[in-house]
Amino acid sequence: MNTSYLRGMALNCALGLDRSTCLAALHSGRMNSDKRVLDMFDEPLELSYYRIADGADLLDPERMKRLLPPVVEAALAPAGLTVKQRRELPVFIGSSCFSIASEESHYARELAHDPGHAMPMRLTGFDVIATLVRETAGSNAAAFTWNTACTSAANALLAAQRSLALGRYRQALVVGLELANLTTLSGFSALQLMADTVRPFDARRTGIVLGEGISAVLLDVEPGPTSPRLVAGASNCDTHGVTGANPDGSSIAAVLARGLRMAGVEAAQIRALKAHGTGTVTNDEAEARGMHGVFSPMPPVCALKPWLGHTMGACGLNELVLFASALEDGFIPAAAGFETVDEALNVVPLTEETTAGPGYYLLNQFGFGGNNTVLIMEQP
Amino acid sequence: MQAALLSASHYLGALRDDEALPSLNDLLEDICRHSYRRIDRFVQLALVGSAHCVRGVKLHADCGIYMGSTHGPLTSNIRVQEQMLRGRELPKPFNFVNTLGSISGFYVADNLQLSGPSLFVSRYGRSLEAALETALTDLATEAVGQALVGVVEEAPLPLDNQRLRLQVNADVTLGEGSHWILLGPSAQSSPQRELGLHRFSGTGELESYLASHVRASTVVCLGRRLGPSVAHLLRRNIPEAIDVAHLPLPFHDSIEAAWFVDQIANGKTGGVLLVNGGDDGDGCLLHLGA
Amino acid sequence: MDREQLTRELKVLIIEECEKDVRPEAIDNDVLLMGQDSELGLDSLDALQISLAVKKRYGKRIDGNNETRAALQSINTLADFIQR
Repeated sequence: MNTSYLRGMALNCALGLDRSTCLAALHSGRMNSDKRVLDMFDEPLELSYYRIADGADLLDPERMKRLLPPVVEAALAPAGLTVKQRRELPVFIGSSCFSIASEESHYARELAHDPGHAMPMRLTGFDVIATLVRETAGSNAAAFTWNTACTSAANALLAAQRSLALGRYRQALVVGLELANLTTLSGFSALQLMADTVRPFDARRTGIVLGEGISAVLLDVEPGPTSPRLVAGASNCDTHGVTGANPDGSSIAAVLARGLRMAGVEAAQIRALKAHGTGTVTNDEAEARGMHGVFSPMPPVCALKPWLGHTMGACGLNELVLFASALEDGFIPAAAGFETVDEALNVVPLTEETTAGPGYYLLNQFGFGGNNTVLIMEQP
Repeated sequence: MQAALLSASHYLGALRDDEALPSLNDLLEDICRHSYRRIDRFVQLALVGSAHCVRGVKLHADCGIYMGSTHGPLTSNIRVQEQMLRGRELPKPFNFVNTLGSISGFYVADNLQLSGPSLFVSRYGRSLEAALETALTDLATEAVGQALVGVVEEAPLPLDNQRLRLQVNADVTLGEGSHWILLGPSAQSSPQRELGLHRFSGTGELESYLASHVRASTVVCLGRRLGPSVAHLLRRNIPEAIDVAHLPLPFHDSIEAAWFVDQIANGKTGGVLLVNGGDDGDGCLLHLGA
Repeated sequence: MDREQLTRELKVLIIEECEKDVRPEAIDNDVLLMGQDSELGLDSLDALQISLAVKKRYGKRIDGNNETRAALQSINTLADFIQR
């Protein structure tokens, strides 16, 4: 089986429009969430949000066209691909929002001008991101778009890793995208899952704070000079409930164990774990129990949603890029804002940056629909 | 890459403009472990199709689910948009949750008591390829021991709106579909039951494949997204090849999947080949009985 | 509003919103609505769905876990909440 390397990585999120800006923000402890009000409902909706600071109207449907291509190009740059390599580059997309912001904008305009003929979901189809990525990259190869809620991008990356392992492709471009849209913001408000501040595993945690972010990874059977290795991963489904895994942590423990087995790595070899850490009462409980079911002792735990917000379908790749970039820079990020230990969970994320060494690291992602995905990487 | 075909099921229901969608309640009662509430049409179609596919087959608990769709849970997405933008209110929790692709896999997994991966991977007009390639990759890397692959398409009312979405004429009969294949590890001992997926680029590679793998008894179907050179080659070399666009089938955007699964669910022997894409990369051959 | 009319309306609302296959008459005013051991077996997602519908129909907002739990205990507690 062939090995896959994270040959190129790029990220644009609330912390900054590229990886170096994001890392500087991590070092400085600067969290960039702000409050905003959505007033298109009869009752205005106020919420915290981690936005990309592009200066545009948050719900502007043209943002994808402006923001996505530079991220793709930044991920492709280190490998210096030929035109032929770009043409043969398969794309693996993970998102939960897709182009829904465009649909919303379109429908809202129709309702304003011609309500009798207004029709929602006119533009529809999951392919908008894949089409834009292929155009930008110059790819005419296969395209795969994942829609598995918060595990979408992680599943896309895992599929790319397995395809390269089999020798089906020598390189793959993986993209995660979440941009602000009414459906996500109001949907999670309706589910009463939102909080003002996100505090993963904290006793005072009360919910999620949403965010947006775009990331891209070039996976390659050839490494660059410092490329981390994407070793393996696993995915399973828990049918306890549509909005979350069984709080007893059993399905999470199962996917963790399976991922470690697929990677040929023992739990004790994991140097640190990037948790999913959404900050809801039940999700963190399930994750904590699951982790305790596999890790004894618990490795250092890193939680990135206080920095990025919950970037939904893209979070698996956004957080992997941020995490791997920090490791490359020699550190494991702290979980900003953590204060009070929850004795019932007994998971204490890092509250200070820690030195990162070579070795194996594990990343968790869980989503609605009972989807659990774990990824294991190796830092050289 | 290839795998053994264990079973398949095909549902393609023609819809009438002047009628409500036909009730699936009897079919659901027949195949559901217990009655599910809060599910939408997309989930209903997925439940019916997947359960029929695995009837009488021994399923492993780690069987993976690989679903794909051009439009996904369209009715739920429409409802949410209407609630928010026409109604100016927060979407209803069930409707919002059901807009996510992973929800249908959740109910299929629950009904069939599966705990393996539940994935939703698509491509516009080519979702069967996307889901199938992902499944074949997982089988080959032994991430799963079996793979249940399904393509589901809804046609929400009013049908005229759906015709606008699909960009088809007013006289086109629309359909809703649920098309499923169950795969196991490749078993070279039964070549006629081997399902293969092969990618190709350009007419040269395609010609080699046709020469070595296609017999007189193979039924060949041309997908809607064939490159022109590839289409020309196929029509010249295999004049009896079927053009999926000309088939009198109730239409949805995964119509190639509907044709292919119908063929294999009906036990077609002698080979079934679906060709799509192809001129400059991105060609795909789905072949049963290579 | 007449109490009996309200309790009947609430039963219909819950049945419709949660897609329960029961007749309104079959729901006793004092039975537990929520939880796996209850007659209707409603869960937290149902609670949210009901809360939104109650707010839309009666203008009363059910916010926060404790208030939800208290108001949604039974048809009677829900009617009490609305008529407060």
